[in-house]
Amino acid sequence: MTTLLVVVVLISLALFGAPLFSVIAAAALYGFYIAGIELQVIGIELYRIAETPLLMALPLFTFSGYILSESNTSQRMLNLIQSMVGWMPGGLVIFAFIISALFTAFTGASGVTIVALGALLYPTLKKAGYSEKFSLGMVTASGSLGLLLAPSLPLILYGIIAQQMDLDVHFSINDLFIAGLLPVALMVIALSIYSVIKNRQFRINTETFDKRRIYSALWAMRWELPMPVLLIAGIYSGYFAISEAAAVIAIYVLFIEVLVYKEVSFSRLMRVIRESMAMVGSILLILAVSLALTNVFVDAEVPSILFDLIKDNVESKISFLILLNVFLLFVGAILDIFSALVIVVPLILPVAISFGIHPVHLGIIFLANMQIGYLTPPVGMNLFISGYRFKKPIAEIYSASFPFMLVLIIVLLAITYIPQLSLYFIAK
Amino acid sequence: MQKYKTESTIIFWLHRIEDIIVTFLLSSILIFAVTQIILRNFFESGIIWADSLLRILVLWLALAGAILASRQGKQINIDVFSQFIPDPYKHHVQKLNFLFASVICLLISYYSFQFVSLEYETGGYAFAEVPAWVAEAVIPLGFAIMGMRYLVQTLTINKKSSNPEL
Repeated sequence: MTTLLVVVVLISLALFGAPLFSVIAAAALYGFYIAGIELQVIGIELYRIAETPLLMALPLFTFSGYILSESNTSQRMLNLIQSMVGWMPGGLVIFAFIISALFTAFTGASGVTIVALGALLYPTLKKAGYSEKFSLGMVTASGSLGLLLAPSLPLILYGIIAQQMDLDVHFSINDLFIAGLLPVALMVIALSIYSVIKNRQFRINTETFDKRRIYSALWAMRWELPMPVLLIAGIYSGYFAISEAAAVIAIYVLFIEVLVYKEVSFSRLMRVIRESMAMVGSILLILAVSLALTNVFVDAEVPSILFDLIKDNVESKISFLILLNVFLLFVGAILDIFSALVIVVPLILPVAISFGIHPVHLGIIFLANMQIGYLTPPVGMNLFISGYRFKKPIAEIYSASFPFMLVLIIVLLAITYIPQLSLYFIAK
Repeated sequence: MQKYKTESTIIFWLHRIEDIIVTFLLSSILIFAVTQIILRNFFESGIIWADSLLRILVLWLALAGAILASRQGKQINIDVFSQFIPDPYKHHVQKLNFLFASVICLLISYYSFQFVSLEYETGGYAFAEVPAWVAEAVIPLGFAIMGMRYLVQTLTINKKSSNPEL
């Protein structure tokens, strides 16, 4: 009875905007208290942050992403694709999806793609003759495309959480990175097909092909182009550990943007450090207290109670997956991606595994759902960022991005029910 | 007026100290990590305790970052209901939120302090010659600062400023 009351109070506090870490921490403390465990244990639990080797990647990639979005990298990327595919009907939009995905992968899931890249894409698309509504929807929907690509923070965070859980099925962070490739490719293809069909009746201005423009755009990006190569060669070949790759990239980005391009001044660099580390701090804090809460849950056998409950009501793997999608779309609509990861993954991962779902596949399903959650009210972050950046009412942004969301939902269904899309390259 | 000025000077310098600590921790991580990679790949050696040190630095950075986040009102929250609260009452809800966060932070600080003092008595090393309690002490310290910050925010929040940077 008391427990029920505590749960209700805590959930209400969370919904009224209390810092989420304090709500989760309170739940964990209460859990330890009723289990008769000394509350000092909270110190041990929080210290686990210092016992997780992979975590170093989080601050470092966040830092690189923030620097990249402060400099003119997005402008140079856009120039490059315009010079290369501007002559091709539909080329601009297709490659806009691709660079948005790459940009999001590098900058994490903070919605920065819309601010840094979308803000340039939007006028470019309109100038090329795409309708305002289409351009707005395209830019908003692309803001979270690429969550499934390395080195996006949510993907790494999922790997870290799953590895903390002592599962029977083992996988590495690299498996997750590889698993995301086909699903993202599928999303880009589906969105491109939709965009081309949708705009076939419009007259889209194409630009003349000019080799010299390509050379100069490539030349302008000469320092940034090696970065994806460095990352892909480094991580996918296993030469660097992911946290080492994060350090190398951070140093490299710092060097080129501050000293070579000189686009981030020293005082702006201090602001970037402050803002990026505040974000890292708030994510790691939530992660730490959630790990503690997960232990409370495990001691109270919540995952197995949950499992029995689901097993009694859900017959097959397929119906479990349907239920999972509905549930996750709902979660994605009310929680931001980091909170959703740390709270929901420890609860559903054991259940999913016993239904025969590979943890890597679950990760991809989970994040694909969250990606769509960025576009759904009431909390869809992309809607708010677009609304704020382009000064449009949320309702207008929502209706503009709605068709893109439908396309993404179709892809989500494919990703969910065809595990090979995520696991094909891993099984070998 | 004079009192107000002194206060804001103190706050200004507190913020700069926090900024410097965060910058120092981030730079240390970068330098140690890259040194370690260079040593390993080019000289086939390495600092034995570098990995432990790096992990501890990440914990410190996490807490320092969290302190920054609570200063800037950037802690992650869900916040679906507060939009339905009429403006004149919003700061009351915010007050309650801050008070709650403050109490929880101070509780964590208190209990993790007990844990650290236990570690101090029993000894044990985090890495090299550094005792474990030194590495762990950042937990009660960090939460104490956050708890104090939320307490100050609870007391100073009013109708005009829904999110004071303190």
